[in-house]
Formats: sequence, structure tokens, C-alpha cells
Amino acid sequence: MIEVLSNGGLNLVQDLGRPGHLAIGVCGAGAMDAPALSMANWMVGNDAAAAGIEISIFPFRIRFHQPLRFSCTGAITTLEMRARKLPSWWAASVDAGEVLTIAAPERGARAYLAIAGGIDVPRVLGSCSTDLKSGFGGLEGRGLRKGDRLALGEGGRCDATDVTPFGIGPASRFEFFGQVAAGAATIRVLASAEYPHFTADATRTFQQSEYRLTPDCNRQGFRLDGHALSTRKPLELLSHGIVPGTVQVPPSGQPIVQMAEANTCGGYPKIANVIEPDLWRLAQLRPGQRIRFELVEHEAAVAAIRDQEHEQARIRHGLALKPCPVARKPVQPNLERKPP
Amino acid sequence: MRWECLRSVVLGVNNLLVMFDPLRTHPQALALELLQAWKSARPSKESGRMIEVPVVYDTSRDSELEGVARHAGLGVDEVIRLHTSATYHVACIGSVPGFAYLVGLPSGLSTPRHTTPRPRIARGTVAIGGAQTGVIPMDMPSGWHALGATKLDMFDPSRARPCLLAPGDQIRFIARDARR
Repeated sequence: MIEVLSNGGLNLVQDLGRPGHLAIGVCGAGAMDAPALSMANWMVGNDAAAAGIEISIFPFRIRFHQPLRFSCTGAITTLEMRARKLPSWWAASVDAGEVLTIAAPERGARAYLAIAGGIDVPRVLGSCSTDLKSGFGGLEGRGLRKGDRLALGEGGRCDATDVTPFGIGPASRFEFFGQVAAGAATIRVLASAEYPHFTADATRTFQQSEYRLTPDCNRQGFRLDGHALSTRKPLELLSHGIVPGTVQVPPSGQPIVQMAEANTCGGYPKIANVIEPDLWRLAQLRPGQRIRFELVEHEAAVAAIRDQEHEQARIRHGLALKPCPVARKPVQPNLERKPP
Repeated sequence: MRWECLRSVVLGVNNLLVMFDPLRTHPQALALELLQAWKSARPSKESGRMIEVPVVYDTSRDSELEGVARHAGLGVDEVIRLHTSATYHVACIGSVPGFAYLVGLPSGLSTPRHTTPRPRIARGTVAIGGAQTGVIPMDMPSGWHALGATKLDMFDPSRARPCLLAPGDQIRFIARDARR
């Protein structure tokens, strides 16, 4: 069991999301930076889809009530424990009663805490993720508060003492934080359904100018600020499905990017769609930081998915060589099979 | 299976969102296949259900219902009569969990949305926004005009069938007395 020692309405139990219910209006939710949660889980021997904690309010403090292994990925920050400090993207073991403090990030916006065994909360429509907008999933559909106690799943008794701390450093993360520090992160997009309805000036501006994240950026969507975009004539669209990454342009001309808790239907014209492997990049940006959209073709988007899969496969393979990180699945009697 | 590259299909009011695995098919190839299938598709014989939605209309002074009546140039009673006389068709579900896009609002009741959305409109509110009407399934910001409220629960993730309505269903609003 772990105990939350700090308040933060945006510190949420998240897994990889709740797919398959868009047709009844239920968004996918899940970790905004899904690859970071997957990697954090692998570092403690969990399946990629185990529930962890998405942290956006810092410093975040928890107490471990049993010896166990944890890892923290996502934003670049510091993990403070009794008499020791580690950077994020590290996994370590703690004794019962130890307190972990995750400091405000130097870079990035969201940190992911994974704990061996995963956070054990009831599944709602097949997922442990918090749908904050709709108020269900995770812990009572809300953000974590001081005093909350979270149970851990089976396999959480990974021998805490037998593992030396270790870290990983995915190259894509260095590249991304480098871009952010240099001025603007590149976010790759595919042209969306109404792209041809935008003026030539709008499609040029969209790709060549920078857009800044406004303070109005949350799990539902990011409102951007930059050169206004307009369609050649006003478009009246009936409601249609939208997904995380959809870039809508409302009458103000300032784009909105849908994120993990996107409404499942919308009505504004869509200029573009952020490719799936770049959604985590957006998720790690803060209000005030800038992005530049790069329009790519289908083939380049597919190549980007493969690049991300390869990077993750390499990391996963590397972790399998570590003493603990191969998931220790409890041996379950096979009830299906009849004795010979 | 022919459509195994599909991940999700989301019905819109007059459109379809198809999510697919881009590592298994090319979007243009899939679009062609879907258009072919559309040509040979036959309408389903299944008819939707008829669902009655009991509503306590808000007839208090200065209610939003009064605003709708003023905009329509009608009396409050006439607005309620018109709103309850129509049969509405569920075109699709979406935006937020359990929200049904309904077709069939009598044109005289169309009311432009508030220019600034209200920060919170209560779960169960029956409202009009533009040429649409519907039941707000959860507390949320909205620019729609409240006519009244229903106790019918449009969405509950713990139910076997979380969403009360489905595309193809028909609904009627029934005026109920607040005291009942």
C-alpha cells in the first residue's frame, strides 16, 4: 500500500486508457504521455498497461507502507528519498515507511510513477484510468488528495532489497527536450478532413509560424495562440468524431489540439491531426512553451510509429537483462485444461 | 476477418469516423473498401426503441425556458406543448458520455446558444441549443438553454448497458408535474 502525502487535483491514477467506448461518448483517457508510463512499468517488472500515477502538481509526496520497487519517468525531475537523491527515469527500491518526494520538473510537465504490482483500483469499462471530465475511473474519478491510500496489485512484493537502482535514457527524449530548450518543439501532423477548405495563407502560416501553449491547456485539450487561421468561407459542420491529436480551428482562428480526454464528437473544422507518436511530446510541454507544426505524409507518420516501436522494443529488451524487471507473473493453475 | 484492421467506428450526425491500424492498411485502400461496402449495404430492419423522457419543465419566473419562449414569440405553455409534441430521433451518441444528438426539434423552437457558455449546467437538464435539443448527461459547461430537468439517468458506467440511448432510438418528452 502507498499513502499520498500531498494534495493535487491533477495527480491521477492512469493506465494506457479505456479504448472501445467512443461510440457511447466515453473518451480513451489514460496517460497523456503513454510511452513514459509504459517504460516506467517495464522498469518495475509490470505490464506496460498497469496503472500508475500521472503527476502534474509538484512536489508530489508519497509514503510506502511496504518495501517495494518504484520508478519515475516522463518529466526530468529529482526523486528525493531518505538520505539519497536520484534523477527521474530511474528505478529504485525503498523500505517500508520511506517517503518519496518528486520535485518540480526542470524539464517537461508530467511525471509518471510506477510501482511494482501496479495501482489496484476498480476497473470501469475495462480500465483503471481516471476520466476526470466524466468523474469516473481511477480513485473515485478524482485527483489524489493527502491521506489517500492506494492498494497495489499482485506481484508487488518484488524483493525490494535485491536490486541496485538503475536508469534509462531514451534518445527521443533528449532530442525533444533539446528542441524545447532551443525555442520550439516540432510536432508532426497529418492533414485533416477540412485542410483543403483553409486559405492558402492559413495552411502556409500553420506550418511556418510558431504557436504558443496558452494557460488553457489540460487533459481535454490544449488551446494555442499564434497567427489566426481561417477557412475560405464559413463551414457549418454537423457533429463528427474527433480523437486525441485532432487540431480544430474554432471561429477565433486559434487552434485547439484535442488530448487524452478529448470529447468524442465536435463540430469545428479540423485542419490537421497530430500523429500518435508525437502526442507525448505535446503532453510534456507547459503553457508558454512553443511548437511548430510539420505537415507530413502518411508514409512518414507510419515510419514515426515504427521508430517509436523500435526504441521501446530496444529499451524493453535491455530491461529484460536486469535482475527484476521481467514481470513476475504469479503461476496460475490452468483451470481450462482438463487433466489427461 | 475483412475489417480486422479497424480499431473503432464512431457514428457522427451525418458521417462516420473510422479508426484503423496504419501498420496494417493504407487509409486510401481502406476508404475505397468502405465506399464499396457502403454501395452494397442494405438498411438494417432493426428499429430503435421508443423511450419516454419525463421532464419537469421550469415554469418559474425568469427561467431560461421563459427566454426561449420570448425568442420564439410564444408563451411558455406553447413551448412546452411544442417540445412534447415532437418525436425525436437519436442520430448519434457522443461528445461526453451518454449525450444523444437528437433530430426533430420543431423549427420554431430553435434558439441560438448563449454567446458565453454557462460554467455549469446540471446533469439531467433538458435543453435547447441552436436547432438541437437534448438531455445533458453530466454536470458540464454549456451554452444551451435549460427548459427543465429529468430524473432519467442517461449514463451510468456501472450499468451493464451504460448508455441509455442508442442511435436509431426515438424519444418523446413527457411533461411531469414538479410535485409528483
